[in-house]
Amino acid sequence: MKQDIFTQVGKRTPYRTPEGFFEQQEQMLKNAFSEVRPVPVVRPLHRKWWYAAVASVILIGGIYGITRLFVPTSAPLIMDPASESAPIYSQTSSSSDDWSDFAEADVFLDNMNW
Amino acid sequence: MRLWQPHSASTEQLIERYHRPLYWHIRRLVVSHDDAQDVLQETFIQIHIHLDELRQTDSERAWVYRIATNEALQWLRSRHEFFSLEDEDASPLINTLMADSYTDTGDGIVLLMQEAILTLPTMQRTVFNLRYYDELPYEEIASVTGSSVGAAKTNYHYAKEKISNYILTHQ
Repeated sequence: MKQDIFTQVGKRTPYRTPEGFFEQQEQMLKNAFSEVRPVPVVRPLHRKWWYAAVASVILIGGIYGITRLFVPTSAPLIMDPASESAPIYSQTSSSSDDWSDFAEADVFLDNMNW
Repeated sequence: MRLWQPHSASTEQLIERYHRPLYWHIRRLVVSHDDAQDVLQETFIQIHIHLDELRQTDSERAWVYRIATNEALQWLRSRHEFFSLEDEDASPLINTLMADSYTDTGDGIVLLMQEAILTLPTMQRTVFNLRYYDELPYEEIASVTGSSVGAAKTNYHYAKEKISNYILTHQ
């Protein structure tokens, strides 16, 4: 008897829908979700390479900038010994007067007891 | 190289496959046609949002049914003052069944069986609907309801007994 109830009724239900409901519903749902654009995703792997490239550019730029700041490119790095000017008192001064003048002008030599 | 995931295309495929069976599943739980429409739309929104999780699941059908079931039960809970799930009071749902514009009250035995189903506790009602109307295997029912296969079988067995007894007493 219990099984007969399920056999008798089967899968029939009292639930009904308006005419053409499923067609309208399907179309409405598809339209709603087709308007939602996918969001672009940037992968972390690519971001890492971008960071490395930017860091390299900053490092190279920094080294180049320091080089330009402290080492002028117009002046030679190694000076020619021939063009180097020697101190005047060792080249041109030969007389003892010159030496004494030099000694009088010197604050350390002045204080010494000769 | 793929820069984005084709969400919308897959959602459209799921709409084509499941919008009818999901509507009927939700309708049998929330009873009213208008409410079933709202819950169905919310279900597809959730499906669209969580589409990435579908690739990690074994059964596509169980996954969409689980979302639909959760949405329907959440809807019932949100109307807790009208549909008390804790007390398993079915009278508001039976009243809705009788009052809904899209209920066919012409066939007495069909209506009585639906009344009997609405008197079941929520878990038994869900399991019965999934097995009897949607013909889901017990493994998928267990996945949908978050229970074991044994529990699903037991719930189905008790549900059939209660429905039979209800009809016999109220006929």
